Amino acid sequence: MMLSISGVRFSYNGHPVLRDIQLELDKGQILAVLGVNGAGKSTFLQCLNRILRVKKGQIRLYSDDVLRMKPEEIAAHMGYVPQRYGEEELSVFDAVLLGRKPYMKWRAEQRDLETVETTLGQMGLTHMAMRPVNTLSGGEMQKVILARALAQEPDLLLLDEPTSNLDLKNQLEVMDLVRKAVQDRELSAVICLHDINLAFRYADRFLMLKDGRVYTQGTRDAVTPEAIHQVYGVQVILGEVQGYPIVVAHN
Amino acid sequence: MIAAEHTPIRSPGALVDAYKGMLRKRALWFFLLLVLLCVLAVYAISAGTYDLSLGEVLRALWGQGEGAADIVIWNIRMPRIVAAVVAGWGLAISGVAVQCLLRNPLGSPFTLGISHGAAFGAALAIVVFGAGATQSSVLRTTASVLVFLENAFSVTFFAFLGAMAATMVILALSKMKRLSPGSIILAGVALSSLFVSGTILIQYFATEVEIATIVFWTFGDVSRSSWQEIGLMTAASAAVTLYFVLNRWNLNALSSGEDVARGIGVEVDRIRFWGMFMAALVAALVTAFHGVIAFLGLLAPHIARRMVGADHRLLIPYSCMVGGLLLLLADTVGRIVIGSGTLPVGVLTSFMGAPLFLYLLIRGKGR
Repeated sequence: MMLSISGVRFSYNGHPVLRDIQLELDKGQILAVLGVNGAGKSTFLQCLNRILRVKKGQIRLYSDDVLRMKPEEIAAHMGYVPQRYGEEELSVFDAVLLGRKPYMKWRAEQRDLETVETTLGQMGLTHMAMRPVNTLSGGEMQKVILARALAQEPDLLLLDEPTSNLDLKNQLEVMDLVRKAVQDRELSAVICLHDINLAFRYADRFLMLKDGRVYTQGTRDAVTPEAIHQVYGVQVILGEVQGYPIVVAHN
Repeated sequence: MIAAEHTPIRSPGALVDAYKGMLRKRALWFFLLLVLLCVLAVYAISAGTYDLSLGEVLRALWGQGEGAADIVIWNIRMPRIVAAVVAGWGLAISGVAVQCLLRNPLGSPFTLGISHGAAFGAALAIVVFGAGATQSSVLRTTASVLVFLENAFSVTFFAFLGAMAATMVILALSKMKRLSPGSIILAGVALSSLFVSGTILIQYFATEVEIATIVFWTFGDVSRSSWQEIGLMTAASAAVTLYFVLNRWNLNALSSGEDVARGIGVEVDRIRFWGMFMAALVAALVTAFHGVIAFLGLLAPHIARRMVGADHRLLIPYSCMVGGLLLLLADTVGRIVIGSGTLPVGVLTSFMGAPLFLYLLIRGKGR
């Protein structure tokens, strides 16, 4: 098992946000984390790479205890795409080069630079490598952030609503890149998503959070209209169009 | 910005080569600035009320000077010039660090209240603690009125305490109340206002001579520099610069956002606390020795950023160089071009800095 989580709890100022989270994820799988705003999706993601300090529970990446790892060790195993990021003035190349930080001592070595070049090529960003990030469009910017996470050469990708500010075309492009990276690099991904249809299209496994607890988890079959109703409070119809499962709000 | 923004890339490895070439090109400009600084320094040494030829300057610098020229150069002009360069460097490294650590382009020792804290400390020393019995040749007003201080270093010491008090309040607020970077700037504005009010209150109870001393101190001036002070400032600026150079990747990460930085293994809270402490320390020292030199810590990093972009590997050395160059330029202009020979450099930096501050606000880059 690549990632195994048991009994993870987290509180903000005494207010419980995550309660007794259990999860297992295999190599090469994409896990979609679903739930309403405030359900604890982002908190869950930030507990995985210890941006937030978990007080109780266990998180293991292969056989390593994540809760005992140093921040740079975690960064060498987990690439993180945050929901919010600043207006970056660095060039695209430099922004992606930051992903090599867990491996760099004093200066960027040739291997670090070559990794950035390769990653930019795979993301289709080579032609804009010298441009400042803050001059790019939203879709391009999201690809740069994803490229930086991939430059970390992680075993696990953590993506916090990577499509939330993108148009449909860019949503599909970014998610295609994530899926391709998972397949080509033999890693896994945990993605917080609001769009259930997008989750159906790209994820192998699903985790539905309600009030900080796991309501249900499993394959696509776990995401039933009843589960969606219980988690989101919305009646839905599940259907299929040209082989793609879709969710439509009923009422 | 120096360097082309679009580079056509064709073969494998070509992008890495183009990137290295761009870095080399940008690094070259640093040496051009260094040459400019040297030229300006030589001009500043030679020009003034006691004119010196280039030959006399070069002979004195080579250790073969003689007579009055040697005394003018080594006892009067060189300390002033080196102090301007080092103070500019110190304020610039402080400014570039604060702007990054707080992710706010308006961050600087001046906007955080550190400078006003120092001014308050100096006023306290002069008036409340009665520094003013023995004649000191250190301070001399523009009207050539001798100002008396019991001990020039007592004012410096209290100014340093005032600056560090402002720093500690800012750090304590950010640590205990977990203030956002934007709120820290606002806290700095509030602190500045508090210290200015305190300084005015002290002046209300002061004698005329004490008021003159305080006012002159707050002008900001590099002419009252001894080699010991310069040595101390140089050591502090060098140590703080080394700290930030060692953390340049962390600063790059922080400039991209806190979550981004944490995601690549940066211990954000630790870097922010110690970084702010280091930045405040050097700013406090410079202000304690030279008074309030407004806006330089804000101005130099912005000019450097326009030249080399936001990469702290380049931004740190360029900001330091621009800071030194700017303060030397302002002091030289105040000393030679304007003509009185004693115009405090703080007045000129305010004239340069205030429009930039407004420009940043108008451009809407403030977050």
